[in-house]
Amino acid sequence: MRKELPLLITTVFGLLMVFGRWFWLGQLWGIESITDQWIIISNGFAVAIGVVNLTQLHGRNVQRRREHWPYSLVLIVAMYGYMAIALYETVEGPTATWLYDGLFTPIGSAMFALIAFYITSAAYRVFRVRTREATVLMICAVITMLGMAPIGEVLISGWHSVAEWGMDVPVSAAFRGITIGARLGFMATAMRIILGLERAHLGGYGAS
Amino acid sequence: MLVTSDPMIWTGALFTLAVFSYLYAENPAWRIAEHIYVGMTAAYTVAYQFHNTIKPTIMEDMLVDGSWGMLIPMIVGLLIYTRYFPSVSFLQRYPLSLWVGYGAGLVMAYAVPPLMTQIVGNFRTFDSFDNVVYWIATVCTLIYFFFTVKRTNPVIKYGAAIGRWAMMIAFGVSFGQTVIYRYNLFLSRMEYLLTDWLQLIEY
Repeated sequence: MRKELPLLITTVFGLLMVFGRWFWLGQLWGIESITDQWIIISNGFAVAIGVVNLTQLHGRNVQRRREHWPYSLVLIVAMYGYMAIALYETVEGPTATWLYDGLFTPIGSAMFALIAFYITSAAYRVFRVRTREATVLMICAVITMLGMAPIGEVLISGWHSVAEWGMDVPVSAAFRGITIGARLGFMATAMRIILGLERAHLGGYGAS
Repeated sequence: MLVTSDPMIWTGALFTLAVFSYLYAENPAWRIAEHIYVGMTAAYTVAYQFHNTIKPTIMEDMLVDGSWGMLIPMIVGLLIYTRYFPSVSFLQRYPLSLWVGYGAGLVMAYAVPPLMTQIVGNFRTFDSFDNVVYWIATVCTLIYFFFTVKRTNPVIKYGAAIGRWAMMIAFGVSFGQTVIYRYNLFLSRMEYLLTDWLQLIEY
């Protein structure tokens, strides 16, 4: 029963979603809103798992004075400090907002901005591969970059229209093909999960 | 006065510089910023869920409205913490099953209409060069993913080859868009440093 019951829950919940969406009776009973509420609540009570995991990992680092342990201490102080403030005055409270705008947003934006440099070095490495596919990929990337940046139009008049055509026709078409394939893949996987053929989430690996 | 006196902007600017310092080498300033970010992300999620889900469920749904049925998803959610107790850790499968089942059901319930829209959108009249290119690129990309058919048939073989080129073009454009987006972010951080912090630029 340790695996059978969870498997049954997966199947029943999956079928309930389909029933609630596609069947008149399911819509009448409001099954979809009930299942949505159940998921929101169960998720809400489970999110602290991240905090528990981080505390366990970094708490052990501090306790055993492992290498770089002061950073673990910084993490624990930042986490519990911010959590205490945000729990007390909500995440929209004055101190929590100050910390969010003064620390969280700048660090997050700067981290994503940092990727600009790494993506440039990735582009350089793609150029060095020297296969036909890599060359086409990079030429299209350069056309797009010049088309999206003001300098493209300054260098070659009408460049923006070329880039726009590329995005509207071949790129949109290829992505449509990929999307159709991916959606079919999602549906096949979902079907396997509902039928109980896919059991990786129960602790096993791969399909049965 | 040139530089701002706002402590919040000072904090933001110094941490932005701390993150950018990683470009030179991994250093304590970067590590502090990184650890603060991870800690705050976890804490924000908990605080947000507490005020928007946990508190209303207990204080309003259960105590005021008397919806004691909400105890079931609440307990199911809490079962995830049994993973820390080996003797009962198998109980963590219940919330996982619920979420995976919900996700699978959601796909089955909602994936069909957008899929049909995508397929119908590909039915085009061959009255323009763009439509012909569009149709060929979509169909050939789909052919590329037919792994159940041997690629000896010329239609499949050459179709898949065209599909691969179409995807390379699409990935190239996608890569270009990502680069531009990241540079935009970088420029916005530079603008923050030069305008809000140092106040060197005025609009």
